[in-house]
Amino acid sequence: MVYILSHILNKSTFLVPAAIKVDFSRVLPWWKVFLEGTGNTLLLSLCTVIFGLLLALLLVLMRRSKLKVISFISKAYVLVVRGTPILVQLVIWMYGLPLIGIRFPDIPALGSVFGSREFITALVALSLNSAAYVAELLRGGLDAVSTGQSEAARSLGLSQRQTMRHIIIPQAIPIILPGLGNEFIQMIKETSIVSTVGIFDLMYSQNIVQASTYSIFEPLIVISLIYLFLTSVLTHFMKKLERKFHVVNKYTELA
Amino acid sequence: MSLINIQNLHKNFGDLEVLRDINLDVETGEVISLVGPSGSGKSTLLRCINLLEIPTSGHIYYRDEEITHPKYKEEDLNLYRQKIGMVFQQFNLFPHLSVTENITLSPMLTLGLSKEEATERAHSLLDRVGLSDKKDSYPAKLSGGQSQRVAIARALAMQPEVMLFDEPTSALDPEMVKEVLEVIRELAESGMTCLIVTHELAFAKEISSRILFLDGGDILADQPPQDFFTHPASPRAKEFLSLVF
Repeated sequence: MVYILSHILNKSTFLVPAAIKVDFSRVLPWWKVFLEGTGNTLLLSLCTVIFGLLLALLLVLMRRSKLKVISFISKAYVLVVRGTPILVQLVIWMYGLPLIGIRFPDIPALGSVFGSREFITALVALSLNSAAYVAELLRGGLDAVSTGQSEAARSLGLSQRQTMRHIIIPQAIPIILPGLGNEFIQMIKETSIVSTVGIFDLMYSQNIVQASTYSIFEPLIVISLIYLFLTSVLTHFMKKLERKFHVVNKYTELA
Repeated sequence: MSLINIQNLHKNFGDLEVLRDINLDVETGEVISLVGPSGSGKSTLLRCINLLEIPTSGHIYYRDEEITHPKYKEEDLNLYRQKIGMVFQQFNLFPHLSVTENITLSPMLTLGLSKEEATERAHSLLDRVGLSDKKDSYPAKLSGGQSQRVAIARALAMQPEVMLFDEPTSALDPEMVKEVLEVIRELAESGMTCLIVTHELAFAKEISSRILFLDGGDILADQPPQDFFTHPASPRAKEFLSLVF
């Protein structure tokens, strides 16, 4: 495969004469760097998704609050976070806020990478960003369950909480899952922006290999394939999960 | 003491006045049909009775207890609603639960019945509405008439003291109307207090003890069926009857 690829690239007349000689053998000895980057990307994505989801739940609860102030805060939060680029948010957390005294400390107990101020700050920035998107997903799913459902439940004497738990949420989950899977996949790719602030993720590992081997093309292909592999595995897993919640067969309108 | 006593009930949706100064007494065992043109406020009145709509002003008493009182608590409202069964035009069965689970959910959650007790109750009710063979089906597999009969069984499983029917046959294909009306008729004849919003005037005439005619948010006629259909108490009711009956 590598041979064919390099063969084509070398012989093709439409390439500029100074085309590089593609040689993956020079980057392969650096597999440990790629592996470490992959591990850090995975951990960052996973933590972001978990914290983002928890925060999103809080945002949805706030949005549904009867107190106008609380509901407004949630709305304004989503507006601001979704309305500004994530790269800008990251840079603000990393370099802007420390200028006015808001900075996260290193936590040495978590290790030199995960415990670093940069990693923690990036995790906070990404989680807060993801929460806004996931909150909108959850809200959409809950709103998609017709009001007739909660009216029927309330007319039977169920409390608001029981109605949520037994009627609304079980029907909202299949609606929310596909979007949530999308968000998770998006997150794996989006974490690559943390490399711009010097965090050793998969994207950053490419910088390291590039600088050490003077190969530019090959490391980019390697990390692309790794990203593709990660998202493919996740897609497969989400499909299985969707099937488990019988999104299609059990109660679609056939009658 | 009336079972339900409504005094000076008003309901506005924004600028729209849907109910204006409704006064009504309902006695135990009465079967009352609410008829009138669309938008007359019949459904809103019904929905105010179990507080699915919150009245803009006025008072509703159930067994002399005011359910519209500002200090009436959420938990009390849940207990009150257990006694007031409601059947909706769109059935509103829970699509993620089987027919039996639809019926057993609330008795288990709110009345503290065991699964066995609730299931036994559900199956005998399904037998009563003629749907024993559908006990493990999901709502999507039921016809409209079957869905509405399950919805009635679901309401009855709470052993309510009053049943509210909000246009129970309006969403049904014509050939399924009868099977649902038969179930309601049987219920009415068994002595259950019923309030029925309906466009089925022939049915209303047959089973009701009282007909309420509403138009523009007012009760314009409140008569026994034999009087209402021969000499209605309001010119609007007469016009309505001449158009549809």
